[in-house]
Amino acid sequence: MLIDITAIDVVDSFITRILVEIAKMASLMGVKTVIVGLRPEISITLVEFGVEFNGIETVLNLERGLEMLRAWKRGEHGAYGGEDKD
Amino acid sequence: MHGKEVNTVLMVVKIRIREEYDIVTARVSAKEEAKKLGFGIVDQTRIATAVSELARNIVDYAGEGVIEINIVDKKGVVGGSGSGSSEGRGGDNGGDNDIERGGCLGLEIIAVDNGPGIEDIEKALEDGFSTGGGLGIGLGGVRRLMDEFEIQSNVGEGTKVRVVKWKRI
Repeated sequence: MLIDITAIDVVDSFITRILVEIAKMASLMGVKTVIVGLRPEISITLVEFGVEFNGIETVLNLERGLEMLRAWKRGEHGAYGGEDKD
Repeated sequence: MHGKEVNTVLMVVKIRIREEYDIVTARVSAKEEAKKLGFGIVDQTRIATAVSELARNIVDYAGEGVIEINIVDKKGVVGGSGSGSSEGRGGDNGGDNDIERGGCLGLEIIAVDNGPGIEDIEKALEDGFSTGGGLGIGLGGVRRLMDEFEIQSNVGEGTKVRVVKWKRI
C-alpha cells in the first residue's frame, strides 16, 4: 500500500498515529505500507518533535514508492498479496 | 511565574477551540501569521505543528478552550516606534537558549482551557506518557519545537500553556 502525503503540510502526533495504525492494520493482512511525499520541513519537524513511523517505510516521492512496491513484489513471496509470475 | 519580559505588541487572533475542525482553523491561522512575520517554512511548520498539538489537547482532554496567537517583541524594541516599556532589564537571558534576542520579534501561542488539569506535569512532559491513548509525545514534542515553553495547571481548574518561537536574525 502506498500513501501519498504530499498535500499534507502539518504532521502532528494525531496524524502520525492514524498513519501508523493504518499500516498496522494493513500488515495484519500481509500488506506493507510505504509513505511518499514527506516534505523536508515536515521531516525536520518530525525528528525534533520525536515521532517515529514505526513499521512504515518512507521514500521521497511517488516514483520511488512505486519502485519499492515493485521490488517487494519481485523479491518477497506473498508480501504484496499476489502470486507473481516474474 | 513571570520569568520573562515579553511585551505583547499586537494580539493577532483568538480562536475558540470546541471541536476537531477548530484545530485546523488554529493551525492555519498560526501558519499564516508566522509567514506574515517572516518565519521560514521550517519554523512555520514547527509552529503549526505545536499549535495543532495544543489545540488537540484542548479538544481531547478539556473539550473546550481558547488559543491565542500573539506577535510579541523582546524588550519593547520593535520598528523603532517607542512602545514605552523599554526598561533595561537585560539580566534575564532566556535560560537554555543562546540566541541573542535584543528587540527581536516572535510568535507567542497561549492555549488555555478549564479542563481537568494535569496531575503530574513532569510526567506529562515525558515522552511516551499519555492518559488519553495518544502517542504521549505531544507536550514534550511541543517544548522541543519551540524556543520558550511554560505550563501551568491545577487539577480541576484547567491548564495554560504558553510557547514562543523567536525569529532568527
